[in-house]
This record gives sequence, structure tokens and C-alpha cells, in this order.
Amino acid sequence: MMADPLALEVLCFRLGGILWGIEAGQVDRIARPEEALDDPLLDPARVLGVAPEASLQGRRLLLRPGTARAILPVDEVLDLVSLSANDLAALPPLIAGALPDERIWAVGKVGTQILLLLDAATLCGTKTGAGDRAGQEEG
Amino acid sequence: MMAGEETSGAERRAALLRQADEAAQAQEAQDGAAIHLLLVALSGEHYGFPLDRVREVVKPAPITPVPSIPEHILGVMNLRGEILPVLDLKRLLGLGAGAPDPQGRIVIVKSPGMAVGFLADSVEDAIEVRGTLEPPLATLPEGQAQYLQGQVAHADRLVGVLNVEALLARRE
Repeated sequence: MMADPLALEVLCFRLGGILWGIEAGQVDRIARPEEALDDPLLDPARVLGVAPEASLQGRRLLLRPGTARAILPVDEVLDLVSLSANDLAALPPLIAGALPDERIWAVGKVGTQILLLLDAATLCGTKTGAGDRAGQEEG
Repeated sequence: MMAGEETSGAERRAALLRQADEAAQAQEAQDGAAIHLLLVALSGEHYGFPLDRVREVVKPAPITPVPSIPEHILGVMNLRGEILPVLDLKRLLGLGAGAPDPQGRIVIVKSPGMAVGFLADSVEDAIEVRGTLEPPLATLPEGQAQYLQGQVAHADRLVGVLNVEALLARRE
């Protein structure tokens, strides 16, 4: 079967007990927690409303949407999946209308599971001052 | 049989049908119009969704929570490929927090442009009630009356008739 040229490559990860996805093109690389990094560190509790769990499998995603840069700590990086139009759905209006912005822009369907798809550009625009300082200290 | 007798017979049947229709209308006016409800249980109380708003009832499927949204929205579920929001009916009605369990059911309700799931403790029956909607009792939990069209008597108990539009309009 030919690959769908319009399909979206999505990096799946777990954070705060929820499955998330982010377009692979918006991720520069995956880093280990102990790695020294210079970019601003996002606070998941503030930008996504979920707190990371203490986990040995924890990783950091280096986000590069356009010229913006930020680091998102996650509990576990799971897989890279290809989502075609049939695997994507808009957020129900009731949900989209209750969110503060478009940081979750759609959902992905992987089997019976649902991925919340993040927009890295929106996330990078919501980085916190505390997170910036933490990132610089660790960098 | 003569032609005149046939005409007379047809007229008599038509007259009887007219009388039957008038009698049914008179009975309905006396009893009140029929109200069709899907009866659900929440914390031991009974509530009814207008049956014409109910699309289907499903067993609880995995619900993916969405952070940063009001507590009464439990999240989204994947129903045969359709992504639906699921609301906590108990929390909306001030009856505590609902949690999916094997006995629970999700009532999928039709709304213009979308479908929405409501989590209930159980689904009891589809019923027809004759009578008029009474205003909600003042003894209901605080804030609940705004989500009810009214109450009707059924099987020696009061059933709150849910106002789907009001439930969907809640923002906080």
C-alpha cells in the first residue's frame, strides 16, 4: 500500500496520564532529563494543566516550531505514528469552546485510543517566566 | 346489496371514526399530552431525557480527559470513530461526581450540529407519561432547577425532565 502523502507524522508521548501527540516536524529532538539544555523550559502544569509523574522514562522534547524554541518535559515517549485524514478529528465544539486557546488543535485516533494533538507554536507562546529561569539554570 | 345501502355503510364508518378521534382528543385533553422520556438513575433519583433527543445508549467506553476545561466535562470518547464530548450529568445536577463503572451508561443526545454523551449511573426504561409538567420542587439540590423543564409523576415518584439546551449551555 502506498503511503498517504498528506499524512501527518506525529510523535506520541504520555504526560500526566494522558496520551498526547505533536507533529514530528515541530520537534527537533528528544533529550534525557540529565542533559544540559539552554532553551526555555515549559511548565506542563501551567501550559497544559497536567503535572508530570516522576518516572525513569521521563524525557524532554526540544520543540522547534518555526523560529521559536522551548523544552517540554514528558513522562514517556511512545511512538511515531502516521495519521491520515481518517485518523484525525476536530475537537468537539463543546470542548474547543471551553479551552483557552488552540494549544490542542485536534484529536488523533489510534485504534480505540485518542491522542490530544498539541500545537507547539501555541505552546511556545505560553512559556512561563519560572520555566524560563529553570531552563536557564539547568542549561 | 343496493347502492344506497353501501353509501350508508361508508358514511356510518366515517362517522364512527370521527367520533373515535374526537373521543381520543378529549381523553388526551383530560389526561394531558403524552411525554416520552428515557428514564435514567442518578444517585437514587430519576431523571428523564426527552426521548426524541436521544440517539442511542452505550456502555462506558474509555474517556480521554482534556485538561483545562470545566469539571463537568469528563473528556472525549471514540464511538465507532466519532469523537464525542462526555458530560458528567451528576456533577451538572449537583449530585456529586460521576465515575464510569460497568453498570453506568452513556446517553448520546442529539443537539444541532453535534452529539453529546451524558454519563448516568444507569438507564432504567423508556416511558410514556401522561400529565402536565409541574415546576421543579424547591427542595431540589441548589442550582438543579435551571437544568429541568419541570417534573412529572411516574410510578409514585417524581421524575425530573431534563432541559438539554440548558445542560449544554453551562460554561463553568
